[in-house]
Amino acid sequence: MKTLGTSATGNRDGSGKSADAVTPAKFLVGIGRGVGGALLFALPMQMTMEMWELGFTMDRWRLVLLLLVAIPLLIGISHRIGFEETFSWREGARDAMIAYGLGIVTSAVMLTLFKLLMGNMPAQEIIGKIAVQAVPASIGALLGRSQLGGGKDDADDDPQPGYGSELFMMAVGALFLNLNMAPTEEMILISYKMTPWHALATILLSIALMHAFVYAVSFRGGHELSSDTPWWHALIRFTLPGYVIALVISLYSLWSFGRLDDGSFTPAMTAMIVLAFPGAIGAAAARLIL
Amino acid sequence: MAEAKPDRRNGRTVSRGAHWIEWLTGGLCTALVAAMIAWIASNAVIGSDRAPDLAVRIIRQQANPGGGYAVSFVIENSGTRTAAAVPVTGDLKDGDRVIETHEVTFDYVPAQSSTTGALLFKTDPSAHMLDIRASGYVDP
Repeated sequence: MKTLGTSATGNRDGSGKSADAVTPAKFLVGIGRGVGGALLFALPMQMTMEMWELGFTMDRWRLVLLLLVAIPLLIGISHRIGFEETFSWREGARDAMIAYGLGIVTSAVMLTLFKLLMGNMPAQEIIGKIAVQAVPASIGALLGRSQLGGGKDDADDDPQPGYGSELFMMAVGALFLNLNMAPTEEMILISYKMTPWHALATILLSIALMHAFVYAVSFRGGHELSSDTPWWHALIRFTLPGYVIALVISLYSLWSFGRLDDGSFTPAMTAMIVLAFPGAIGAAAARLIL
Repeated sequence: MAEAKPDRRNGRTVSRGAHWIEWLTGGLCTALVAAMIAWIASNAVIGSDRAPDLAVRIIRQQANPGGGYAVSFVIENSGTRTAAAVPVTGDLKDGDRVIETHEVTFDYVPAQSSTTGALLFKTDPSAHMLDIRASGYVDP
């Protein structure tokens, strides 16, 4: 936490807009929002039994991979929704690391509060439990710093986001909902209950909802379809890639949490489709909210 | 696809000129989703007999350093439906007399998949007759 203190007083000067000059008080407010965001987004996971168990059952390489993947992800998010218009990679990395730190600290405090961390546990278990919670909590912290900020609504003066950036935000939205749900047993249970017909219906509903969410309905931040653009243009260029992203993120989450280890191809695919349903909603909503 | 329309200032309209890479990505994703739908649909049409078909096969017997013997086995479900709460019972017999009985329960054995487990015995199973079987299941 010492680095937070130094960055509060340090390198922000001279780069930002003068109206937003960062005082220690403002910085503390930002930290507070980050903590709020981390709690808001991560409490459901911190109070989920499967997430505690993953702390010691999850394959260590998969955990390391998840922790590493989170870094470019957080930098990407802070780039996309950063508070400063003058964004540099150094500031992005700093914001991302602050969020990651907040995620780790809030997770540790919450898990201790729930008596899930105790001194007589092996270090492996304590660190594993905190680490697996830190990733969603850090995404929450970053989103909280911008979304709970108020008054910084950047939807209108946003520079037009590129194609890659749009797909990236979809991936963040999908990952966010998937991290919530992939650890639970219900995901595979639902997939085992389903017949192939149910799976087919889920795919079609996911795509239809995703398409409706952003393209047909002109919400704030959504794509406006001009009347001379055929509807299938947006379907092929945005909705279907978005759905494939939701599928890939869903597969990655399930694999990370060891939910695919026993199954063969078809059960794994059905579980992926089940989890991609909330993922698709998250992906579509991310571009409205963020 | 150059639609020759100028970018609208206020935002993200789909009619802005699409880069070829958007169509390439879109095309690949469409093919992927179509392939997945075709696979599931073919499963839906073919897979009419939906029942689990469970078989247990011993893969290894070894003495535990801490005492006792571990019998590792594979349980395979070759059916097209997942079995839940599957008890696997192992009877160690000497003729007709049952010396030891142990049971483990698998939460799930997914369709067309296999998973592994082990039963722990006090006496050496290799000196007796060992019968391991799945003794039931619940529909998920």
